[in-house]
Amino acid sequence: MTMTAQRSGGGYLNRPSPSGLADVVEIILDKGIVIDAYVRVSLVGIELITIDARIVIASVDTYLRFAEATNRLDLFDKDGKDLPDFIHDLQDKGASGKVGGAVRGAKKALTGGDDDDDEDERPRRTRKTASASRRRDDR
Amino acid sequence: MTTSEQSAPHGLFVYAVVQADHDLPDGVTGVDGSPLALVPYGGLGAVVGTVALDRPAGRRADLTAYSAVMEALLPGRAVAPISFGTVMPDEQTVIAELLAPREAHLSRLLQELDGRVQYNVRASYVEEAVLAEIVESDPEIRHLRERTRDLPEDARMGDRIRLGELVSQAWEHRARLDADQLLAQVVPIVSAHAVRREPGPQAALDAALLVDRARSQELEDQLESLAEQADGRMQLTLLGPLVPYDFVGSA
Repeated sequence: MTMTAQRSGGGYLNRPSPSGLADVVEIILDKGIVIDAYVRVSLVGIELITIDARIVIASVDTYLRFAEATNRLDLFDKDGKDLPDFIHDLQDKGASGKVGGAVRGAKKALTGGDDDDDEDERPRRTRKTASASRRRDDR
Repeated sequence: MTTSEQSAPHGLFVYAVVQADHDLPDGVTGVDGSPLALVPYGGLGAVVGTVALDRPAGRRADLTAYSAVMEALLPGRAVAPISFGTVMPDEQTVIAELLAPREAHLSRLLQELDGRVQYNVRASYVEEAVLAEIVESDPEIRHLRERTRDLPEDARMGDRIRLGELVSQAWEHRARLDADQLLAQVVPIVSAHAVRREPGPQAALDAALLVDRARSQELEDQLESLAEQADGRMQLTLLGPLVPYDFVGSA
């Protein structure tokens, strides 16, 4: 890899083109020179406020999320499935059409998606979604 | 203080401050498709475009239009971006409230930024790889995991919370170490850096880097090499070159 690829696909370094709204928000919001408020007319409306990529890490919900993600790991596996099988099962159950690999599968597990239905093991699933935890943390 | 001649109230969307001799890119329009203009003052110029004041606020297209203006300005001389959503009534106000009071500061800032561009770098974790490291390296976590993993979700809640807390702390600790290591290998190449988000399980590193154009290839090569070393554990993402959004202060 002598020359760096301009776009993702070639090297290890991911080089997305920052065209998506989330990327643009991440890059520009709260940046740049701020002029005194009294001569400004704010164009930042409600639509933008709903977009918040930040995740606050400091709550029992979050700890439980970590605990569960840790427990889902099949590291020194005795009887459980390994991770690719686990992901494959999720896909078979149609839980998510977006699970494209182990990484995203694990992320799905971490963020508490609707990801399994082993009633015998986990009779009640009242886990909060990541976004719900965020809202709570933001208060 | 003349009132506007136009029937609908209009203002000027202010995009950036540049040097007065900055050539505005051809064919680039700003928010609402309005053409760009330069409001000159001394050696400075404010890049502006007309915008109706009674329009709906903050649409997605406005963000992308703003971003496109910055992208178009990037190849030229230094650009000091003005915070998104800044609208001023008219040219006189742009001069009186923005350019004149900050002339010395903005001139110095543009000199510092000249020939430099920003990159945003993020090192996000491959979760299961880090979790595996954490479990393997901490006997207490391993023990708690064994005690809780095959039980119903609401059993041993205290153990679960303790497990999650320990994992979270271990991850934060790792993230700080990873961030320090990564930064140490890019700081010698860049002229400034700004941490955009503190290290944590979301990402070890989320930082803006200001680099001389002449060294940007060196930076990209270094990051490519770091990305290869981190492969399987962290994913490095590089955005840029960008105008120096994170290096203009708030003056």
